[in-house]
Amino acid sequence: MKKISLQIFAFFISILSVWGQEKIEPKESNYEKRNLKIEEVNILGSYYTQDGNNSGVTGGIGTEKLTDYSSSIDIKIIKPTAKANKHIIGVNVGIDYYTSASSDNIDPILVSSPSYSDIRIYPTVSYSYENSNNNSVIGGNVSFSKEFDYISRGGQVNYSKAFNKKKTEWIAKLNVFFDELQEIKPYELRGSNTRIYETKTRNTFNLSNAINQTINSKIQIALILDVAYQNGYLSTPFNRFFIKNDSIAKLEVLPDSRIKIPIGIRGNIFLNDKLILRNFYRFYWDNWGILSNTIQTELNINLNSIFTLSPSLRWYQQTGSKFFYEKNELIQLADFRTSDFDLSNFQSIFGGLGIKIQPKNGIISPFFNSIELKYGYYARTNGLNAHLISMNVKIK
Amino acid sequence: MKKGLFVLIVLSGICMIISCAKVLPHQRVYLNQSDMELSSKPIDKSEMNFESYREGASGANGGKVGGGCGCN
Repeated sequence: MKKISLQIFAFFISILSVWGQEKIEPKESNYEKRNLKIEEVNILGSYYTQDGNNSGVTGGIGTEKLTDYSSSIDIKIIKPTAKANKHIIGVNVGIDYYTSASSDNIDPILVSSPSYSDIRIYPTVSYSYENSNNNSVIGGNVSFSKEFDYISRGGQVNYSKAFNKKKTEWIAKLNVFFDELQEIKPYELRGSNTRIYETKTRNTFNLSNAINQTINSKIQIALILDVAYQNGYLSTPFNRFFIKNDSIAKLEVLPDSRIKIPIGIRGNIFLNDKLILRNFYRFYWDNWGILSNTIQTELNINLNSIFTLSPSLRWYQQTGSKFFYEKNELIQLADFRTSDFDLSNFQSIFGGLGIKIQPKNGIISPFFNSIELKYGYYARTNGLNAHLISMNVKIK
Repeated sequence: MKKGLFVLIVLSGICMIISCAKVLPHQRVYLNQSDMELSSKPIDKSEMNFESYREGASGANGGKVGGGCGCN
């Protein structure tokens, strides 16, 4: 009997010891595993085609036909910390493939020159640290871009801080790009070494400041001020320039520095459960003589819990650069000159229609969050027109 | 240039005055919607990109102001 009692006691003790061990576990489970987590993946694709008759390559008159296929993947990875802060890592890789009829005129001797089509690859890696205790984010990125005749190395540091009970947020960014380009001149203006190109440099420094402000529970606005400075070789080496009574092409020549100051205001208004209005205005000035105004508006219409329609309209106007002259406009050669119609006096309009499909439980699976498609038509008063089809797939 | 700066200063002043309105945490439900974000949408990246190629002006919209590609 005593033996049985001892056995039962031992059994109880063993159960209690096991239970006791289980009891300790929650204490140990205070340690929460905080692994890297893919927060969001955006896959973007677009098809762009344009036509016009003012190519800078042929001195301001000539085909501007161009087609561009673009795709990129943007991955956002988050690692939470013990103090509810976040490490955010971003990886973006983009590839563009384009064909350009005007670029082919750089070197018409070759039946299909390398400049007729090109591939651009541009990866970017970013890191930021979100501190929820003082409502700030600090971060940066490094970027790289490679084309046939152009290499760019870039970097960014950024800081943002929310205050005034998170109603106000200040965002500051400093971007730098150190670029190298091959000086590919028009064929007839090259020396004896027709396929050996000189390397030129171009540097860009841009400081951007933005204030996001909540006006009330349905309106918020952003004020953005950018200041950019560029130096180095800022001309396009293969653009031709013609003066009156001289059929021999000259090179485009632009100053070796440029200051750009764009100022923008964005205002979003929640009209009701069905309608959200997004507005944007930008004033732009630079020391090459370009003054510009941009007005953009987009209405987001929630048709039901799945579909959102987004018609948009953008109007743009610029005064031409003081260095712009049409083909054969000048009698004598100016020190700085270009016939690139992107720097001319014009207005443009862009009308777009987007549709977003975002079912509550995802498309096919909950991870496949949404798909967005947009078509847009662009027209410039000097005859250039373009079509753009874009797609964004979001995986969460 | 001066006109633009004047407009900006006036708008900033108006915003600061209006910004006194209280917004309680539960009232942020409208502001937190993705379409209310004060940045350009990912799908508009290609549009901003080609506009920076085809136009003299760029920047103040979340896109590049220059450099980084053979476009400007």
